[in-house]
Amino acid sequence: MHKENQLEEVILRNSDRVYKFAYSLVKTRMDADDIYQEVFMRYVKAKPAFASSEHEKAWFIKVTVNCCKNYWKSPWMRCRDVFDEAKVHLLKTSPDASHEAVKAMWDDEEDKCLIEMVKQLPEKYRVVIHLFYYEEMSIEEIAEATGMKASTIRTRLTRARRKLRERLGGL
Amino acid sequence: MFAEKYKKAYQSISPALELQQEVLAQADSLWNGSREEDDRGRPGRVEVEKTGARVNARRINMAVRAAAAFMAIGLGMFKIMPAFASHVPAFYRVIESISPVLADRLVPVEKSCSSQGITMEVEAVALEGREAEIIVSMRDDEGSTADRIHGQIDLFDSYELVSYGGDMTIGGSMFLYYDDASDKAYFKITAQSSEEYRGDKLRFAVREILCDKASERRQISLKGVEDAAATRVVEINGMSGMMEEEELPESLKAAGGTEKDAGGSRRVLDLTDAAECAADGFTVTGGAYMDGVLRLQICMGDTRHADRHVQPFLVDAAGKERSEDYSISWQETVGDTSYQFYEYWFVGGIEDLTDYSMYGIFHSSGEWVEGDWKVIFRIA
Repeated sequence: MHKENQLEEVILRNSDRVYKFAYSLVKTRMDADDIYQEVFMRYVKAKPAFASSEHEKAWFIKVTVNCCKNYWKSPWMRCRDVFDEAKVHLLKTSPDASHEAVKAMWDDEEDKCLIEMVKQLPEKYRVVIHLFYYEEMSIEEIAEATGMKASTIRTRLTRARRKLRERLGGL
Repeated sequence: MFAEKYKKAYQSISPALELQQEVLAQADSLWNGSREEDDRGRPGRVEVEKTGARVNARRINMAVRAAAAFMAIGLGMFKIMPAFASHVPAFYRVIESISPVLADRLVPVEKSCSSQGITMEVEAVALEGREAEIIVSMRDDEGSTADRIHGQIDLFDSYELVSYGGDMTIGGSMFLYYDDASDKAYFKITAQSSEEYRGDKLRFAVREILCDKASERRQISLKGVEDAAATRVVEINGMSGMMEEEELPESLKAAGGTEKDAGGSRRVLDLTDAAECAADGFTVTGGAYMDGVLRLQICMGDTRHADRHVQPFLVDAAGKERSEDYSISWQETVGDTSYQFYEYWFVGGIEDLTDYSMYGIFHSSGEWVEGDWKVIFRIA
């Protein structure tokens, strides 16, 4: 098969996965768009050869996390929070914002509300929440993809669940 | 179950079709581009020589060099990462690559105002004690039919930064680059205050801009250079050079014998009446080689609403370049027109003038726009 077609297939195969994961880790769709593009540009430049579908999935998850780390570290994005819309301002300045308040801001759209509540968690918890609940990865798989110890992942998952339980009232 | 709810919530989260297509197109472009580079071997070198940037870069001053570096590195970076961080302003990525320390301190301001169909925006500010660095952009208003901002522009020294706290002095303005995608021309303004910034309110204002700045290298003929020419005394309004006043030959030092302050008077070549010079362009009025000094005189025309200046340089038979050692400037008014003259002095070291060629980088500007751009912002 021609190399270009292979590249395209890999991109399309991982498109949704990368975007959803990126969106779970950043603030807005625009941010997710940027991470999405960056991940695939890195893929095209690196042109890695994947030994298996698990290897491919792990590679994209790892690179997405790395791209998001740059995003989080970016002083511009850090500072940008101050100037974000009222929604983000409220979530930032009132981490204990009630479920009702956030829900009202999202016009009672339960899905968006859930996503936003998860987004209030620190990024280290969001990574494990998304990979565990959406990608259905095991703790060991998450550990391998993120380069952390399984025990650390387990602890983070427990803490993330506890925090979400406090906010969502049941998990 | 949280897992089900979470999965359901993310079902609708997918990349837009346009985004996906854009990524595929970029991937295709990057893939083909990298293959071409592999085939060519040394693509960067060819490009530099083709654009002539290597030749010109030697002649431009430090500010322009810095701006060129911003442009070159910035544009190069975007070529490599065409889609990276579209919502992070383009200038930020450029500054981040050049000066991470500055980028680290930048705080978004994003306050704008419009005048004369042009929007000025204070994009970001970085404060460090009494120092402030401000990133400003200019662009045509949305819907404006006048395409005035499409490259390098100049704030024409008509900007001011006023602090509601302490006194403020402007350190300088530097054109960073023009970003095609956002249609914005970016500047960096530096300023110092008498007191440390503490969440002060600042007002940044610009009164005039010059559009379409351009630079062109031209050869200046030395055939008409005289070995004896009449001189006259003028009151200068500027001087600069690498030489100290004391090092200049007696004939070039401040001219005495006038009723005015001798320190502000110089003896220049008496070549052409100002009225015979172009008011809206350059006129090389002539030159002379006397007492071991090569003197070149150029009239810049009326520069009250334009920016025209020249960087002349000699090239010897071996290709070695030499800039002037000293220059002076003065004005002559004829009717409503005020002509700006420069005389450039190459002192000593020239044994035979026929061994040399002379060139100049002629910097000029296009449309002058007078407006009233003011932005008040708070720095936290």
